[in-house]
Formats: sequence, structure tokens, C-alpha cells
Amino acid sequence: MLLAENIQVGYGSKIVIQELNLTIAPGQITTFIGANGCGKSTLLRTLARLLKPTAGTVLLDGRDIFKRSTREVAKQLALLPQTPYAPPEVTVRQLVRLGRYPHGRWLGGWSDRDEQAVQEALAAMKLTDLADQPVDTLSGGQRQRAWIAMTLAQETDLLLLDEPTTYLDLSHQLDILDILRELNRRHHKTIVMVLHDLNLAARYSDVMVAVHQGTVYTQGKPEKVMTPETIRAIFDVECVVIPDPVAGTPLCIPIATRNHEVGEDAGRTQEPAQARHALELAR
Amino acid sequence: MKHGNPPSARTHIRPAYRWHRFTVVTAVLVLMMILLFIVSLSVGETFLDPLELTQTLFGSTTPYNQLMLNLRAPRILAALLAGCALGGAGAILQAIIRNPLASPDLLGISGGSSAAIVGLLLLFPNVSVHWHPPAALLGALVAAILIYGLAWRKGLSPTRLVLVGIAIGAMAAALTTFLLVASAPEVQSRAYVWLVGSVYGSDWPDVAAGLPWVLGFGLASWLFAQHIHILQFSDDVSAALGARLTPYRVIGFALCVGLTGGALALGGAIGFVGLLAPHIARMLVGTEFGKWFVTSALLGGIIVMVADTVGRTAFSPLDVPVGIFTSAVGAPFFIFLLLRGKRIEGRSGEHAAR
Repeated sequence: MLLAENIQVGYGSKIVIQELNLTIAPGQITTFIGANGCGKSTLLRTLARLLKPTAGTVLLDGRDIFKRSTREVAKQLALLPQTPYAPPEVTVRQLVRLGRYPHGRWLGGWSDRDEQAVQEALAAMKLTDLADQPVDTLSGGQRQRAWIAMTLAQETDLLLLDEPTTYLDLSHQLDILDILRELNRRHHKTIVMVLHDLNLAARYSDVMVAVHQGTVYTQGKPEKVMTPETIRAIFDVECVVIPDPVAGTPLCIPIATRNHEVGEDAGRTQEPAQARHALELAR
Repeated sequence: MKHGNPPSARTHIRPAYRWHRFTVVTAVLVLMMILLFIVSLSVGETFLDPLELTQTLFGSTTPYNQLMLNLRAPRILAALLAGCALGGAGAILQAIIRNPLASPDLLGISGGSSAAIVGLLLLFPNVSVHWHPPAALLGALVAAILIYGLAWRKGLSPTRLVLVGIAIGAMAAALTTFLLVASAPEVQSRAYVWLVGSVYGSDWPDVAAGLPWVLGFGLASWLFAQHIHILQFSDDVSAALGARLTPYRVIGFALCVGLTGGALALGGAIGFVGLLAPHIARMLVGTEFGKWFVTSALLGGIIVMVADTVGRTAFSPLDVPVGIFTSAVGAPFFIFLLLRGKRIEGRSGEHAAR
């Protein structure tokens, strides 16, 4: 169980997150959405103890995450950062082996358990055949799977991912999200991630957390969070929300940013209404 | 689940050979080292029969061989040890700075040692060689602390470390030149030989003075390998895996300083080995640090030993300092490697600069 208690986080004098309380539901997929710079990445990194809040704290199983041995925490919680870097010679297997680091003994011996975890992670990500390729030579989707395999070898209950689908084409985005859902449903991993694509977020999440101006604007099931009101408040975008014809989850159709409504260009204020009307007709 | 990537031309399956490969590389390098050591013992102004030499090593000997052995063996061992230390130090630095162009000489660590030794020669011309390792180490340490202190800003960015290191290196070079100018001619010539890097005239006490430093810091680095290894990945990745970045970097840096100081005490400022050996080692065994470190140290030892043997024999009676050879041969070879390797660009430590 992971929860943030009244945290305030900043870089230097700039406060990014303030008075934020959040409980991550165990066994669920939680997704943070929000505008650029709203603090969702900062929130994820704070939950992963990479940033220390200036006030409040993060509790993992009831204990302050910043007062625990960082290696012990790494056995319970894995993080995949947004643009992770590995030296170019590193092979997929070597990368996945890195996930065993927190389980290692002082002299770095390699146990059967370690080897088994690495093999399982490779197999789960369908990378066994590519295990001895340098990560650098893989395609974007394969590379992302290799990094996820590394977090799997860590054998944690919690997996945090910062925009895991960025830079991937649609098919690989779906591929990665399917993998994460599978990890959640079959391996009961609690997954917390930041996503930019609202509709994919709604389709794949159990819980959505809308982050706005450094705090939680609203949270809950996608149906509760993905409303025109919330989208307007956090993105400043007018939209229509309809049921996704495939998954039944909410689907956001943007109309225009609210900036277009104000000012001299008065004619454009008609657009949302027209568009809404057009949609009504289309139904 | 869809895994619809068509296998690209590059994704053919290769066997799991990495450990196997490391074992082979190590075995070959150790064998090479032993052979080259014996060859190096036999060649020189007078050629000694390698077979007789081998017998000498095992006790049965002629007085003449014994004499030659006592002249040549310490010098060769000094070269070997200095090279191993430089190769190891270079690998540590490249790992913690995440930049394949880092080396102890580039970062001013060697420069600090040089200034300290020249200062020592100037102030105490008759000091025992046993003071050389501590002095070299002290110089390296002062330079390292300066680099660290100036580069520190709530943590350590590899990029800033390189930039500050280059500046400290330039200052150390200026200080060294100033000390040279202020010295008497005898001191100047001694210091000069030392500055280009030379094992000329090394004897058993020299080797005995340097050995503990090199072995001690080498062993410590090897034991710490898994923690240095993880520093090669971006800060987010290693911190999330439970690595303690700043303490590990400080320890890695200290180990590098120790090895550099030991090498400089033994062989002076031998250039380019700290850059070249890790680079070749990386191409041979990859960057899993334990393997990389061992391979780089072995290669460094071989390079310096061979360079000194050639320098001592090829232009006889002229004894060319080993440092000239490592730079003269090492620099073009390094440029060749750079031109050939395509994957060198774009991997400086910028990822860490968060």
C-alpha cells in the first residue's frame, strides 16, 4: 500500500506539488493525467522516493519511504523513468539482470533465484530470443519491453511507469498497455503510470487521477474523471465525452481550446455548440 | 497480446556467450602477459635465453642471469603494475562519468600527482622512493577533492565533473611548469623524465613501494564492481533500483584516485593508457563492470609493458621513456578506433543532468 500524505514538493524555490493526499489502490491500474507541468511526473517520482518532499511524506506499507533502506524499497517498488539510459553495449539480458541489483548480496553473487527471475522476465516480455542483442539495436517497442522486463526481474508488487508509451506508434502503445494490463490481471501487480493519451488512459485504467496545479483535482473510475467539466478545468479544452464504441469507456472528443472563445474572434464561440449539435445528429 | 514486430535484419539470434567470452579473453590476456614478460626479460642490450631465464625464475641460476634479472625484472614489473592501475582507473572513471572519453589524465587527477611529485623532487631532492606513492596519491587526492568540491551542486553531474576536471588539469599543468622553472637543472631533468612517464631505473624497492597501493585499490575496486556498474545507467534508473548515487560515486572516484596515484608513483605520468585500455576492453567484453575492469587492467598492463620494452630496445642505446611510446602509438590508434566505431557519439553524461 502506497500513499502520499499531505506532500509538498519543489525544485529549488519553485513549488510543484502542494498539499497533496493520495492513496494508491492495491491491485489496480492507476493513471495520472494532467497538463504539461501540472506535476504528475513529479508526483510519480516522489512516490518512487526519487524526490524528497519538503513537507509531508510518502508511506509504503505504513512506513516512511524515505526512512527505509532504499534497497529494501526497491524490492517492493519498481520505477521505469521516462527516458532511461543504458550504455550502448548493454545487452537485453544484462539490462534485465540489473533488476536483480536490490536483491543482491554484498559481493554480487548470482543465485538460481536470480537467474530464474531473469528468465521469467525475458519470457514474459517475449525477449528470450533477443536476450543477447544490445538494447541499442532494438526497435522502440522492443526496447521498452526490455526496460519493463528489467522492472519485472525486480519482483516487486508495485510498478510505476512515467509515460511508458511516449515515442511509440499506436500499435506499440497498445502492445505496451496490453502487457501492463496482463501484468496487473494475471500477476496482480499494482500499476501506477503517467499517460498523455486520455482515451487510452480511460480504456486501460481502473482509477484515473486528474492532477492540476500541483494537487489532485479529482480521482476515481474513468467514467467519473473523464467529464467535459474536468477536461475543461485541467486542460482548458472544450470537449464532448461519448462512450468508446469498442471498450465502452469514456472517449474524449476535443472541440476547441477555450482560448478561442474569448477575444475579438466572436464567431468562433459558435463552434462548440455547432460541433455538439453535429455529434448529436451523428448519433 | 500483439507482438507484431517483424524481425528486423539485425535481430538474428546470438548464443549466450558473454561469460564464456570473458573467460576466453581473460585467459588469452593472462597468457599474453606471461609470455611478453618473459620476452621482455630476455631482450635488451644482451639477449638472455628465455629457457635459462625460466629456470632462473625457479631457483637454479647463473650469477650473470641473476644480475640481469635484478636489473630488468623490477622495471618490467613496474611498467606492468603501472599499466594495470591506469587501465583499471580509466575504466572506473569512464563508468562513473558515463563518458568513454574520460581518463585520469584528462580530468587533472594525474596532473595533481605530477605537480606533487615535482614539488617533492624540488623541495627534498634526496627523499626516499617510498615517499613517491604517498606524494603522488596526495597530489591526486587534492586535485580530486578540488574537482569534486567545485563540481558539486546538490549532487554530482558527470558533465560538470568533466568540465571542472579539465580546468583543474590545466591549473595543475601550470603549477608543474612553474615548479620546473623554479628548480635546479638536476631536479629538472629528473622531473622531466618522470613527467613524460618512465620506469627507467626502477628497482625492487620501487616495485615494493607501489605494489600495495595498486593491489589494494585494485582489489577494492573489484569488490565494489556491482555498485560502480549500476552508476553507468541514468540516475533515475539506478536510484530506483536502490543504488545510493552520491556515496557510490565518491567511493568510485576515490578508488580511481588511489589507482592513479599508485600508477604515477611507479611509472610517472604515462599518457593515454587510461583512455585506451578501457576502450579496447569495452569492445572485447562489454560494460558489465566486473569484467570490464579486469580486462581493462590486464590490457593496460600489457600495453605499458610492451611499450616500455620497445622503448628500451628499439632505439638502443637510446632509452625512450614509455610515456612517449604510449602516446605516440596510443593516440593514432585511438583516433582509428574513434573513426571506426560509430556508436561513440551521443552518450556523454547528459542524461544525468537532472
